[in-house]
Amino acid sequence: MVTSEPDMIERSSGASLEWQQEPGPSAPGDDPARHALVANLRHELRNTLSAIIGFSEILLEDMEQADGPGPSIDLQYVNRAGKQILEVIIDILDPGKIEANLSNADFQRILIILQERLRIPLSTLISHGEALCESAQKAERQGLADDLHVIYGLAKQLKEIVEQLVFPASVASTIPGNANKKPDKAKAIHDAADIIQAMGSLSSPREAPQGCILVVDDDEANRSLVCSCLKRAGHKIITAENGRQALELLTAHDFDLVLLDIIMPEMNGYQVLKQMRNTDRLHNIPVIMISAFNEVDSAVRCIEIGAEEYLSKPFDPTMLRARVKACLEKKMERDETVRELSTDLDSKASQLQATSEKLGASRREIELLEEKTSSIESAVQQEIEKIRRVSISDILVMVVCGFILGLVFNAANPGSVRLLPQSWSASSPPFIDPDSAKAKFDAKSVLFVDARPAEYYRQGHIPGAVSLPTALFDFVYMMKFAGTDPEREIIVYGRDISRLHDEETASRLQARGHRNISIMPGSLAAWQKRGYPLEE
Amino acid sequence: MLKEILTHRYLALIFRLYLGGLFIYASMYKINYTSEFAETIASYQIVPYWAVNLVAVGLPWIELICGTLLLLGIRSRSAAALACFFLVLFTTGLAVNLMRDAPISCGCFHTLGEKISWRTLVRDLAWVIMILHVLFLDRAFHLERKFSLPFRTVRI
Repeated sequence: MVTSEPDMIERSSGASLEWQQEPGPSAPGDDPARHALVANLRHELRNTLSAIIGFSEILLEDMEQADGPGPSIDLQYVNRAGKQILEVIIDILDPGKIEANLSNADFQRILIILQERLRIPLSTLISHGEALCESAQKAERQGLADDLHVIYGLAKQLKEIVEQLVFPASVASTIPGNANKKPDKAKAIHDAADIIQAMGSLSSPREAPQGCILVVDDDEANRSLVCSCLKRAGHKIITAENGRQALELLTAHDFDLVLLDIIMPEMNGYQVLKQMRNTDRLHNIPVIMISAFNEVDSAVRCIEIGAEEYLSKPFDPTMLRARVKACLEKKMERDETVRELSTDLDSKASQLQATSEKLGASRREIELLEEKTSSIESAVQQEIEKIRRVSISDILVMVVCGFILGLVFNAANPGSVRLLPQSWSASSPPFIDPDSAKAKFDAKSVLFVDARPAEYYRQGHIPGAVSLPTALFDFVYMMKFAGTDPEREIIVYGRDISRLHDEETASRLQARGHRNISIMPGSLAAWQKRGYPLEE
Repeated sequence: MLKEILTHRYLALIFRLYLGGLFIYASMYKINYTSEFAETIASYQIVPYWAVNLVAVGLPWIELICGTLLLLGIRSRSAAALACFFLVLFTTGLAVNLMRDAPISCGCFHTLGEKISWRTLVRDLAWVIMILHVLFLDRAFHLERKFSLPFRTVRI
């Protein structure tokens, strides 16, 4: 469809009037409304262009790898025209260039200029698209023809959008959420994706880490393009049409990477990204944001929220694969590091467990030692207490030790004493009672011998008695008894509780040959008790 | 003031050392001349005739142990109690024999020592008072406590 410039200007003014009549929260000419309109228009155009450029580049790449004959020149024209159109859109629909206080008329003029500048590259795109289809059919390469038909269909769709720029109703339908489904386009895209997948199997995938990737995009053309591009690299791809579906899939499955579009119905890309970063399980999944917005602010916002990369549509498939590869490599390195750290942590935990067990054992040992120390302390305390009081056992120990030492010393001593009285082992002379002794005393037929020590003899004795103490026996006997008749009757007296002097002296006299000896056991006390005479 | 001096622990220490030395000195002669000591014991007429020699053999050694423990401050309370028992026994024996007017020697340090008299009794009573002082007031310089104290500071 060819339209002259004056016609366009007319339609532009008419469209301006229609905008003012459209219901909505903001009146036409209001900055936010116009900003949204321009952003959505740019998004729609770039989405379509992204698909055209992407498919054409994939086909060019496949043709180069297949190294076969094909309509590569027309395809290069299509690719170049697509890029040219993209440059024009970026140049004219730059938000910085559309001033805030621009009137509706001026805005319409900008749109007309856009139409005018796109006319030639669009014509080039359409004509080379037609040529591509024809040459593919002539070459009887059905797969390639179908693929090229898809590009041709997308080119025509782009032309329709550009031609309807001055008609607000058409433009409004491009706003996400209000956009009508395009069944023809979807079908074409599906077919193209299958064709590209089939072609992709011919060429060998490059060596790269393979992972499970979630592609989230409301635009089916872009979704299929990304899927095709990544499936050829050997990745497992799962797709989602909106943010909510993406989150459900993320919750149910494990993914290595997420490719996330920003503008989507129900939940946009920012919301999904925020939700992921706030969920522990999804926090570490890398996210590449893909958007038709070519604004620095949008990219910065995505990076700030936590996106790994930012790609603007249309993207180069090689660049997409490279970034996906880089992201997956980073994630695998991170996972490896986490695994190593986890192993290290397990090792440290087991060491800690062992140390803890050792500490427990030591603690028990210390408690045991404390108990023993306590008991020792208690015993020592008891001993100290013993020091402060008189202990019968101590006294007994002292007495027993004293006796043992004494007995040992006495046994070893040449001048030892007899432990038991001698009288127990020797035969004792006969006893005589004091009355019989008195009778013999009166008859003066007997010799009395006082065996007590001389001090006691001097204190008092039987009249006529001779002192013969045991201690001085030999000396006194020699002096006083040397000439005494051995047959003479002798009565020996003198004993007390501690000494049996009479028995000892009598034994010694017997040993000297005296045969008529008797003992008066009552000693001087019995004599005195009967009132018999004493001599002092 | 007088009470403080009389009950001072160092006075008890002096008494303890004096009596310890006295017991050791007294035991020396008795150990070397057992038979003479047996005669001395017998002269008191307190111990039965069959036990005189046994006592003469064991008593000096008990005195020696008692004196040594008093001097060193080991089990000094028990040693003081035993020494007190002996001193009371000797003093009682002395008093009884004084009352009997027995012509015997004291035999405390030498067999052929001085004859017992009231002066000897007073001396023995003084020793009894000293040993009672030691028994109840002795607290200073116990060798045993010097060794046992470190145990109280051991804590794990």
